[in-house]
Amino acid sequence: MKEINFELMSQKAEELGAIFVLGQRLVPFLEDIFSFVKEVKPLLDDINLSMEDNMDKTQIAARKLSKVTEATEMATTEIIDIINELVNKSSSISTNLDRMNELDSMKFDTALNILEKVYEAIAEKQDVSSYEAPLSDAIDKLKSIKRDTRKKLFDSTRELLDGINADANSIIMSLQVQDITTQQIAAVNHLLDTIHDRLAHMLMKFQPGEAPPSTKKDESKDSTTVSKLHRPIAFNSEEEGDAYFSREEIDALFLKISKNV
Amino acid sequence: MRYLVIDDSPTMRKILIAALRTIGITDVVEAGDGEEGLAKIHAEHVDFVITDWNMPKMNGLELAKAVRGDDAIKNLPIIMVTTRDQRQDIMQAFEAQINNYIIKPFTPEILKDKIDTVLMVAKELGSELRISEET
Repeated sequence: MKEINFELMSQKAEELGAIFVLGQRLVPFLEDIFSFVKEVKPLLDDINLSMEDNMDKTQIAARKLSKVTEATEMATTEIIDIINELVNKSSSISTNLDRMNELDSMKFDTALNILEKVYEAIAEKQDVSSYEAPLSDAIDKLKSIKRDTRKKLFDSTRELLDGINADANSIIMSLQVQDITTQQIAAVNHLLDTIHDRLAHMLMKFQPGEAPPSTKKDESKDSTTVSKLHRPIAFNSEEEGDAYFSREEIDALFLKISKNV
Repeated sequence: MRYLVIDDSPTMRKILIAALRTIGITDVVEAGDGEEGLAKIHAEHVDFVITDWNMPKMNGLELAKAVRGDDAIKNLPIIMVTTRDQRQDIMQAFEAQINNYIIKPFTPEILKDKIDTVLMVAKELGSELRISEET
């Protein structure tokens, strides 16, 4: 039979007692921790949800800004291409004008030459019948200049000017990008304002007191109404598929209403 | 025929007027919002309205409803030119009895096509377009 060590038993009992004392002291502390976790959990859930929501919104904002960049890039390239065409056309017009000037000089010189010869012949009382053939040639030459080359140059210049007119109108149409990008940026601004407000609201829960000042402008005093007016676009334009009509569908739809008005 | 261009963006008004000029329409008046537009419809004997949707004071949709609700001008053709491209937006415009709908960006050819369609349908139906003739 094993011998009982009472001294050891007493020592262990004391240790056990100490554990119970520690337990008694720990329980209220643990209760505090549990209660704190219980209180903080909804806040953490809220933060989690807000973070997810804000992440989605920042992605939408990023996509909208990408669209703005893409649209401005496309419009700028288009405008540069048109301006290059305009430069080429105005350069061609300049060449045409030089050529027309040359032709006019040639016409003038030829006519003057004929008149001088005829005048000299008459003054010297010469027989002018010898001038009949060269005069006829000169008149034909003048007529051909008028009818062919000059007409071609005029037509070409008119065509170039019409082209310049069309190009100028194309530039004006390309500038619609200003309106479209303004609305996209207004939508991004609104998204950023929403994110700011949510973050400020979350901070308030951690640090009771005054909320950080909002970056949002007082829109009632704002002469530019775009950011206020285009809010719906910010939240709806990311939908895909069935959210959009094709141009043909729009035409068919409004043909109905036109017939009913 | 006299056209009224309504848009709160001066740039867009200039673009629309240039597009109309390109397709041979030069008798154009302009307004910066629906409220001003409605006043001009009455004061300037307007025959055709081209309007934006999003505008201060009175938007394009409210303007259309106001026009359709006024017996003196209820047949006035209205085309909406806007960036709002969603099905639900277009259905709203349809319900407000807009005659046609153009999504920006547009070209003068698209504008001409839409105006011609509206005028052709009105002609087929013998509807009196000019408010000056109705009054």
